[in-house]
Amino acid sequence: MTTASSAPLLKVRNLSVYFRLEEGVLTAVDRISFDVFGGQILGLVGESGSGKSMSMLALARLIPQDIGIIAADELSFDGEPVLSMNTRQLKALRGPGIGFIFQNPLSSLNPLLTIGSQISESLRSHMGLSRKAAATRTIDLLARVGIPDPKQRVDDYPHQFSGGMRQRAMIAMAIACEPKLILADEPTTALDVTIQAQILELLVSIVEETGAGVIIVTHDLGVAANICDHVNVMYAGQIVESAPVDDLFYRPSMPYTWGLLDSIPRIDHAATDVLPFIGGRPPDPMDFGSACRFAPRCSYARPACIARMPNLSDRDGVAHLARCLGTESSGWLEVQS
Amino acid sequence: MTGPAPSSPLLDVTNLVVQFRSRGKLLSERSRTFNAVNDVSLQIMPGESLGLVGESGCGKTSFGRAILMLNRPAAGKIHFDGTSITDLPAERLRTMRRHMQMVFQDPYSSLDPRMTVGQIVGEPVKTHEPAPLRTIREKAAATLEIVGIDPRRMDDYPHQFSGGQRQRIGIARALAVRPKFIVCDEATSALDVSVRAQILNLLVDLRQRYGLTYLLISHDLGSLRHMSDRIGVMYLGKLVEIGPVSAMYETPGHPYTQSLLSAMPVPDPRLERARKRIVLSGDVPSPQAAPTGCCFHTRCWLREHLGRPARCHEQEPELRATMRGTKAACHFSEEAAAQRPVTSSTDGVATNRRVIVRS
Repeated sequence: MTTASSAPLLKVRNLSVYFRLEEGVLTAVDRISFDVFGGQILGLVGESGSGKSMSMLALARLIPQDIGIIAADELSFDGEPVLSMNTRQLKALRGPGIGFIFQNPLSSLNPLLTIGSQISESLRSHMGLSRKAAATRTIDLLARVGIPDPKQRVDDYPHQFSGGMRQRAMIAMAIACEPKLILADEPTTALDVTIQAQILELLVSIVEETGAGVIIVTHDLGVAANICDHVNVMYAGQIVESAPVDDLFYRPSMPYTWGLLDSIPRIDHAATDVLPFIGGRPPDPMDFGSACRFAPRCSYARPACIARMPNLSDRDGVAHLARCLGTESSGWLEVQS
Repeated sequence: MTGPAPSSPLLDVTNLVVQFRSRGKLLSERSRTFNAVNDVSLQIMPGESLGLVGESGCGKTSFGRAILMLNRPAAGKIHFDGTSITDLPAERLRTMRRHMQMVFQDPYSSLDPRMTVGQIVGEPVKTHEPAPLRTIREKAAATLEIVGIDPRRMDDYPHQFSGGQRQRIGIARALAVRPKFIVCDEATSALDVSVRAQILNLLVDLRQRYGLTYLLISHDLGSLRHMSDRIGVMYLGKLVEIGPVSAMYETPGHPYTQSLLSAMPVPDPRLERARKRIVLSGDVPSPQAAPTGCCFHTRCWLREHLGRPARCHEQEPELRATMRGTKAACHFSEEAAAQRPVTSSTDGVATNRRVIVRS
């Protein structure tokens, strides 16, 4: 476990993302709240369309204002309110404040510029380094993320790098300005498992070394179990369970989380005959209604679940929250593990 | 194994080589050929499910396409159901293909967006057993029903279905002509976990109902453990290990298989912290510049552990039986077995939880 400092680096209270479409308003993220501390790795897990990537983009205000609406009671980075920032302040936030690692490095790296020039450009514009100092630091960074022969490879173009090397280069770019927060959206999904292991190890070592906070979006619960300190499970735009990693995996308190965990074919167990699965489909984001959003797919649902939306409430510890009437203390579900 | 085999293999591949040509980077450079599949032999028995695993570029997809003769092999023999298909005339090959179908990874790009679902599933029927349109439609409807798609929707287009439903449609297309053998190439990789579980269950169910034989190509060791009787591991065009599923996961004899298993994260944080993870250094070499000797020696942790014995880069290891029930192409597979990292858990998230419903 990493030690977390007391004041949160990122404070998110009731963050929502809406898209105004011709057919109506689509709710992509619906009033999510959480904190991220320095040195902490927070996971956002869930299936396609659950709102995990959108919440991440909203945190850095990377959703174009003419398409999407970002609303929050509070969204502050290092004590500064993000929603009221002007263009210049946002540039400072995204440059040195926050580093980004995306799923597909090839689409985030400029194919016309060398790897080195893309890293040193950001060092010069955000940290005000001289050309020479930036060049030296770029080589150091490439060496830090494990690129062999950094002095030679610094002049390569992205297409000359393998997939794993490109992801390393993107991490070098993300950490170039010593950000306090790193946002990683499915950083290893496009990579082979042996390369994934290398990249996850690199991420953890960077956190230990720099004390940066990390939010990692992943659909892979194995990856979450491997590197996260705390995990938020998202479903239909909401956080439905939030817990320290061990609590989430050993004492999950929400039938959707059970479904996710149970439907994974394991490498560490012999096969069972039939894999459990979650039937049905997620609700329409244009019309979520007022019931528990998982109720239509939940085999434990009762009329109460349709009558009202459950709150995200305490479970066995202060840091463990779940959105389920059945597993509340007055509920009808008891979990033994 | 002792005594005569209970039956002959449905698929018998010997010394298969698939070559591709790479264009030179400069105009003056000559194009070079390289072996995407390099001297692979394996058999699949009727009703068996063989999983083929490996990382991008290892040749598993090229192998799958070659045994359906979608890529013409450069060398080697493929016997399907006793017939050599490598030198069949085109006409005979087409009739043979009826028994060998394929399910693709991407349920979005593998279905023609301009065809209705009924037409997509009816297409192979039209090719292989020409019949009146009505009969073809009836067959398509029946097949859609088998895979869990409402036949009343057979006049809808692919974009009107979810990813999981589209993959069911892709399976229906393969199933429509009642083949004996299906190659599934990363058939569940693009799907969310809960949907993936449903498709895996469907494939297991279809195999039992119709006595299908599968070649399952995937990078997902979890899905393969669930689905396969035997597992083959490929690296740089070579089959480096093959064996029964339990031995492959519990007592693998090739250091590459061990690395793959140890790199695969499991949804169990305590086990993740306890596991001894082998992190391989570097990337897979280009198949155009494959290493001498053992193809894995440039990244092999065991070779480092043993002080870089010369045999690894001088002599190519043969696939041979290990003490633990697999066949591995490693000079030092007994030493590898002794170094086995922790990959099994007792905590068992999915198995130990019990939910009690109070009244």
